[in-house]
Amino acid sequence: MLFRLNPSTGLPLYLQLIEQIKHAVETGALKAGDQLPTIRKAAEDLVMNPNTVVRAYRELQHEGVIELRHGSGAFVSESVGGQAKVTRKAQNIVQSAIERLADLELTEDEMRRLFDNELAQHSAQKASGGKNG
Amino acid sequence: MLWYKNWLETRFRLVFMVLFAVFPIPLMTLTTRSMDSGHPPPFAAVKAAVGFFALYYSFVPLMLAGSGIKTQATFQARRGLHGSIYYTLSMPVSRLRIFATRAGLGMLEAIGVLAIAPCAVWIIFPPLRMRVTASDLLAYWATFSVCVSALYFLGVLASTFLDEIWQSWTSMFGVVVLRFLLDRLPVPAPVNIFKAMGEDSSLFTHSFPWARMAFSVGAAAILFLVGLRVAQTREY
Amino acid sequence: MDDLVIETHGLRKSFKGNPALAGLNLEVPAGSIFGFLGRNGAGKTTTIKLLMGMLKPDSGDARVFGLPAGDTPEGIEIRRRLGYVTEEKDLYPYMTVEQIIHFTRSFFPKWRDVLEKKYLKRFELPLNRKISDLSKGMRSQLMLLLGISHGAELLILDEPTEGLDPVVVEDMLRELVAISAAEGTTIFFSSHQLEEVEQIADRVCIIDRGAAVVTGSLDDLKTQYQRLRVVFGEGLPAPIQWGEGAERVRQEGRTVEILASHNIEAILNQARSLPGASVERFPVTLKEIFMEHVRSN
Repeated sequence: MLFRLNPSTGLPLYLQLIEQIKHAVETGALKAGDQLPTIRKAAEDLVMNPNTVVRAYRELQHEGVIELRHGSGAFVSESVGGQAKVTRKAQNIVQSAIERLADLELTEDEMRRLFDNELAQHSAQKASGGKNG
Repeated sequence: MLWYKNWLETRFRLVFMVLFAVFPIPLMTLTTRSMDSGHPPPFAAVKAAVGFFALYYSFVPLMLAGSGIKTQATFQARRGLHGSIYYTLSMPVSRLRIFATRAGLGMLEAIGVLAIAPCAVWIIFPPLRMRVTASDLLAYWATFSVCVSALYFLGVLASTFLDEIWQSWTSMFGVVVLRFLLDRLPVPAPVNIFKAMGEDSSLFTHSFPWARMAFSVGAAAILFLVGLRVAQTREY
Repeated sequence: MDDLVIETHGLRKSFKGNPALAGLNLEVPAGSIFGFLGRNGAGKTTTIKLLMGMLKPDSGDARVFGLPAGDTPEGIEIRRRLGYVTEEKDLYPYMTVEQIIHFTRSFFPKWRDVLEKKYLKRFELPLNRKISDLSKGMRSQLMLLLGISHGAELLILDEPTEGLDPVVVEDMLRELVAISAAEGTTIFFSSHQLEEVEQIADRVCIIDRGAAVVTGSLDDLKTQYQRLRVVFGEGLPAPIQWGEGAERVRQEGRTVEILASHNIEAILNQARSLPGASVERFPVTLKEIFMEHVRSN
C-alpha cells in the first residue's frame, strides 16, 4: 500500500487513512472495482494497528466509497467513477488560487491559515443558517 | 526442564569439584609414602587425618549449593545479563519447583562427587585397608552424604541472599568456624556431624552413626523449609 | 466492552516507604494493542512485575485472564498463557538459541512448531549461537519468538524498543502488528517512545506517580483533545474564564492558547464571541497530551 501516514501530526490515523484512500479514488489511483489490501496486509505494510484499518474500512464502507464483500475482501465501489472529474476540476481551482496568492507574496503557512479560517467561518455560518458574508 | 537448565549452569562447576575431590589423592599418597619408610603411622594419626578430610570434602556440597532464585553473578554472567531470573520467574512454574530442583540437583551432584571420598581414604591410608570392608566404605559414603546434607542446605540458604561466588567462600569459612566450635564447645553428641564424617564414621566404628544422621536430616529439612520460605516470599 | 485481559483495581505498592503505585486502575481489553506510558519511575515496571507475580501488592488487586496474579496455581496458569519480554531482554547467557527454545518448550504443551520455525527464519536467528553473543535486538526477537511460539494470548513487553536501532524497531513494531492481526493476541507494552505508541496502539494509559492520569482509545483521545489559538486584533479583554474542558491556558502578548480535553464547540463559540478574536484549531499529538499530564504542576 503506497500510503504515507504520520502518527505525529495529531490527526487520528484512521482519519488519515480514510483521507488518503479517498484521495486515491478521486485522482484515479484506485479505480472502481479495484481490490484493497486485506486488513492484515494493510496493517503490516503500514505498521499500524489492525483495528485502525478496520475502523477506516468500515467508515469508508459507510460512506459508500468501498464495499466489503464477505469472504472476498474490500473493493472500491462501482459508483465512485464520477468523483474523479469533480476532483480534477477542484484541483484546478485550488492550483490557480495558490498561484494568485503567491503573486501577493503570501507564504504557504499564511495561505494555509487563511484557508482554514475561511473554512471554519464557512461551516459556522452554514450551521447557523446565515447568508454568505 | 529446570533440571536441564540447572545442569547447564552447574556442569563446569561439577567437573571442577571432581578435580577438587581427586586432587589430594596423589599429593597425600606421596606424602604418606615418603613418611612411611617401613614404619606405618600410628592409627591415631590416620584417624585424625580422616577427620581433617571430613572438613575438606564437606566443602564439595557447599560449592555446589544453589537455590535457583538469585540473579546469577557468576563468571557465566557477562555483559550485564544478570536479570535472567526474570525469565525463569516468567515461566509457568512455582517458586517451590525453581528452588527444589536447583537444591536437589546440587545435592545429587554432591553425593556423586562424594563417592570419591571413600576411594581417596582407601588409597591414601594403607593402614586402613585391612580394617575396612567394601560395605564399610559404602556405608562411609552414605553416612557422609547424609551428615553433610545439613551443611549443604546451610549453603543453599546462604545462596538465597548471597551471590553464588560469595556464598561458596562464606559457607566454607562458616563451616570451618562451625567445626572449630563444635569440637571445642560442649554440645550433645548427635550435633557433631563432623565427627560422624571423620573419626566416628563407619570406617572406624563399622556401623552407622544413626543419631547424628537423624540430626543432620532434621536440620537439613528445617533449613530447606526456611530457604523455601525465602524463595516464595522474595520480591523481585 | 469485550472481556478484559488485564484488570487492576486500586493497586498499591511501596518500596521502603516510597510509593511506587498509588491506586492504579487499569483495563486492557482482549485483542487490543495497549500502550502503557509514563516517565521513568512512574510505576510501569512495578505494574508489570505485579502482573507477573514477581511482586505482591500492598493492597488492591490485579487480574490477568480473570485470574489473580501471584505465586499460586492461578498465577502459574496466567504465565502459561502469556509471553513476557523484559526490558533488558535478559535470557540465560550460557544457553544457545536452540537450548533456550528446548528449555522453554518443555513448559508449554501447546507449543506451535510452525510458529517457531516461521519466526526463526524471519528473524534469522542462528540456532547454535550463544545468547551472550547475540545483540540486544536479536535477544528481543528471540524473546518475542519464545512468547509467540507457545501460543501466548497476551504479550507483555517492558520497553520493547529501548536501545534498539530504528530498523530493528520498525521490524519489531511490524511483527507486533502482524501477530495481533493474525492471532488476535493482546499486546500490552510499556514505553516512553511516544511516536511508536502512537503508531501501533489503539488504547493507551498514561501513568504518573503511580496512578493512571489518562486512559482511553487513542483515536478518541486525539479527537477529543484540541488546541485552540485565539489571536486578538486589538488589546486583550480582561482575564477570561474559559468554560469547562479548557485544561491549560497560556497567554503571550495578544495570543491565548488553550489546550482543551472536551467541550470543544462550547469553548470555540466562547472564543469567537469575544471582540476582535480570530480562532484557529489544531490537532493535538500524543506527546502534547502526555506532557500535559505528567509535568509537575
